[in-house]
Amino acid sequence: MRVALTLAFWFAGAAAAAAQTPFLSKGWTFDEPNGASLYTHVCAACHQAGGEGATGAGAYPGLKGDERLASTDYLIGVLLGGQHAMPALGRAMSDAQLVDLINYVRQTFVGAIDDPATAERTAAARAAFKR
Amino acid sequence: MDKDPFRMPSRRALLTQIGAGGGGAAVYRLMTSLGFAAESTYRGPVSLEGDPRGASVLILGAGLAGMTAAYELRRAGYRVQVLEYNARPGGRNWTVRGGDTYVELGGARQVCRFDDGQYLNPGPWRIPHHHYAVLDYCRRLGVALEPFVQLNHAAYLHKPDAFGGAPQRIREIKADYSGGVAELLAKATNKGALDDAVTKEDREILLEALRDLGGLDRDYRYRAGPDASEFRGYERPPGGGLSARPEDGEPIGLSDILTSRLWGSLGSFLSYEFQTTMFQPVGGMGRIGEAFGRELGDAIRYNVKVVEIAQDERGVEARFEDRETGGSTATARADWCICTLPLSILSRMRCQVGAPMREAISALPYAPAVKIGLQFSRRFWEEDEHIYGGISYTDQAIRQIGYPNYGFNRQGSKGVLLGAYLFGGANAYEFTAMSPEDRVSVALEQGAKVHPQYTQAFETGISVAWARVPFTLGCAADWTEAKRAEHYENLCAIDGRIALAGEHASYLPAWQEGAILSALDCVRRLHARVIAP
Repeated sequence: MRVALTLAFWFAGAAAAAAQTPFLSKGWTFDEPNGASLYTHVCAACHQAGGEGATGAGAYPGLKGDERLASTDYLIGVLLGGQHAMPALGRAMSDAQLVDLINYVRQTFVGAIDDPATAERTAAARAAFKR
Repeated sequence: MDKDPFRMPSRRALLTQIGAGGGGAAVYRLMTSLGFAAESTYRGPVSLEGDPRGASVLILGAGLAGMTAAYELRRAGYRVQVLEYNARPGGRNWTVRGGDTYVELGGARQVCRFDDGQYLNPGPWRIPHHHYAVLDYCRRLGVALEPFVQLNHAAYLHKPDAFGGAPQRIREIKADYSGGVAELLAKATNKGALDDAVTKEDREILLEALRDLGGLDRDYRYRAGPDASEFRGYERPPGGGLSARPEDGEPIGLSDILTSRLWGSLGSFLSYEFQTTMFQPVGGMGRIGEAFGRELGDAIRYNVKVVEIAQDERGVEARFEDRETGGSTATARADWCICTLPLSILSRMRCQVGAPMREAISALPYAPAVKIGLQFSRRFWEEDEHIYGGISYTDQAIRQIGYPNYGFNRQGSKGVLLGAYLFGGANAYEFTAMSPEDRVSVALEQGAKVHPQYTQAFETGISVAWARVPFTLGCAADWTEAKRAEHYENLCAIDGRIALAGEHASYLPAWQEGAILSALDCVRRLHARVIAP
């Protein structure tokens, strides 16, 4: 499966097409290689591909322009602690994945590049959440 | 033990998950081990004695919890009104049939192209025989049931990297696994290795029992022969006339089974939650919700979206938008309110309750789940492979292939397979993030590894990813023991004039029985308060 999908990814070429190429992790945790891929294949399940969120009987908040995302600590907290009905998805990611995802989300949706996440910070937060 | 998919699974869970059939089985085993499998506490219809003196109750949500509450309160003399987001009753009790249109969050629109009589149960699909409340309401509402096949010995266990990717019959893995283990134990017993643990008298009985259990031969060996074939089936089954003589097949070696880890799925057939007999409503699980809906008639107002819940010492008020008239708002008032909205929705809504309940409402993550229905032009699983109902497990992302438990063995009959059922874990999110078309293509590609006939016989498919279901935003509340200790009582306690009910307010999360029992417990306590002098 992975091989076939990876090939499909290569042949698809363009980034736009990649956004629609399925990705499947091998186990219980996420295998996505970087922040963009994590966003597209995990976060977008609820927050949608462009970060616009979605509304039905309830709502998934849109990420675009949400100023809270400027705070790296806020994102670390949400991803490792969960928020409302959102599970603590960061616990199924490595520190490298978390860092890349957080920096991707901040840059993409609020244009923040200062105060980037680091593996030290996510690891420390992870330890704190475990207590 | 912890079923939270975002914490490291326990060692046992990990083993199960790595083993064949992985995810689904692992999750359910974890749930079972958390005590969710306790026997239903239902002991017959609820008795609400005493005059409610015209009290009114506003019920939010026409799922099984809300409709159970409405049904029982109305019988007890209450005035009830139910507000429902969808245009149909049932909530997660839902069957998708040909002609139905489904638009998920994000806007992807699917029209179900199944033939008449074919369906997919996107949510609950089976009822354990010990879910007494669901069964009793089916009886009282006239919902016909038929067996749901959980264990079909002819179905498969499959891993791409085990046995060269060839799916193995559950019958053979099950028989050869217990045969091999029984032979080992018999050997140990005969060598005296168990003398410390087994008395001399019991030793003989143990050997006899192992022979019986494993299909061992006279010398306590598990090998090709009539004893083993009685369990594992035959290379050539007994026939009639000149070709009658059966031929025994060669058992799979214990080492091959152990390393394949296909044994990992066998536990799901033994667990209390899935023991025979299980049931399904004839025509789809949604028949239960439909029956409740008919019973309640215009007590349910459909197509309204609740946006705010407020209360004071005199009563409760819910503000809602009318979805048919493009969002004009109105309010409904009552003396009391039973809110059955999923916490995924309630946690982001203005709801006037005290801090303990508010914190409980916000504390629970919702697990994702995905189901995919695939219609095929012929029932190749029946015609070619003699699989009548039941489930095959694979450790591919699709996890399971569920066969229809109805309409067996008819000439030229089509059928709908459950082509994927994911509950929790990375793949459930990844499937949700795909377009409906991609979900179906991946299910076809992976399913074809188990049934190559997929490629020729596929007609049409539909998928429901629960995190994108507009009326729930998730599949079910994902409790942990720590969260229960902190929040469960606050979630279930009546806050002023507002009480919550639903699967999330039960020890049977994601089960319909939990939703109904929660509603019954809620109306009992509410009623006691209403009639109190």
